[in-house]
Amino acid sequence: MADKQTVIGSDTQITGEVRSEGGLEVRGRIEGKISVAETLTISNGAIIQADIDGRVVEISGAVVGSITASEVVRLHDKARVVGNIQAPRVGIASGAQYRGQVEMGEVDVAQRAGKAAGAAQKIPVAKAVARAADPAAAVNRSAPRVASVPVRRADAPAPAWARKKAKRR
Amino acid sequence: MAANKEACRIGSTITISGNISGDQDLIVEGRIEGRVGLDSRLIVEEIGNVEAQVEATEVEIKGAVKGDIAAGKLATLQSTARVLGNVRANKIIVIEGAMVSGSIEMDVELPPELAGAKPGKA
Amino acid sequence: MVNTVIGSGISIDGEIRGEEALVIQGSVKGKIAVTGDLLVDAGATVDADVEGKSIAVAGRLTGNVHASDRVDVKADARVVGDIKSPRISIADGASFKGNIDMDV
Repeated sequence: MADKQTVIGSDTQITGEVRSEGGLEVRGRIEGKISVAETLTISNGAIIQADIDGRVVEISGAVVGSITASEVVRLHDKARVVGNIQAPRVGIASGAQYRGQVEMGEVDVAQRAGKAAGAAQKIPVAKAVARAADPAAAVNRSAPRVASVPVRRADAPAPAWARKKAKRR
Repeated sequence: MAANKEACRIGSTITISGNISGDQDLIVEGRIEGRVGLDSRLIVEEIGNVEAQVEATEVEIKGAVKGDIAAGKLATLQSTARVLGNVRANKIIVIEGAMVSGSIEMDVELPPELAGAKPGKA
Repeated sequence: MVNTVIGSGISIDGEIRGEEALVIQGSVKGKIAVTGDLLVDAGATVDADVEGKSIAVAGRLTGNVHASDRVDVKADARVVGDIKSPRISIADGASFKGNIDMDV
């Protein structure tokens, strides 16, 4: 948490955009947009209907809106969150409730090298092919979903759900 | 590993392609392709690799899963988990470090003030 | 050491491949091919062609059996299918229907 922390108290209600170059703790209600350079803490009891943007986002309150963090989003015990999360790291504690899409960048579900011999050797090739076919996906970590869909073994057809999603784009 | 019946283990060199069903806890260190439907617990170890639709009472992921996961009670994604697919469960725990691409769906009891609120229309 | 056990509470419809020993206590329909030893335990139901190094059957097996080392059909086993292996034993009390090929 930042040193000179701004706190929006539990009796305060804000409609509009809230920006902070430092950290911010919200105990009240915000409707609109929240953009914080450092750590944003949504305390238990806070009610937020806003898109949220921060470096570190710690949530123990209720949030409806999209959440973007450059570092980490943590949903603590009492968190009630509906909306998409985009962050390289996400933690959801026992007791938190969440519904939405989570995007952390490319997820490598290829088989780990070593133990499982046969199939493992094919993976780098399959991946290389997939990346060559879709160069944007290889580079752009924040590209939603597309980035990860092509990563599959060449000899394994994508499951039906993956094909559907790929087509939709 | 708490289990009433002894858990059964799929070793690291084993690949099963097809449909796995049953009511015995299953620990996967190898590879599964297809579909898993268990009235018990599925544990995917760090070296395990599952490319399947998964349904189980409880699911604990330490390795890689590509496919949708549905758990009756609890789904836990440990810090080493890599999941490409949607996760639905009564309760879902994600340990920081886990990589997820897909939706995470639990029932959310929003306070009345947010009852009608829709994300994206904030 | 046997690392992989398909327990009595598990059913598999498909193919099992691997490079280790495998014990089947549950039910498998499809195909089994391991380079290690295979035990179809008492109580197991296997409806599959099976391949392994040394294969022992104490349960019910329907399908062809191909072992690189040996096949043992135990006393209470029931095997329907052809067996191909350099060494084969069928215990007294086992039921077996099929051809035996010891590659002479």
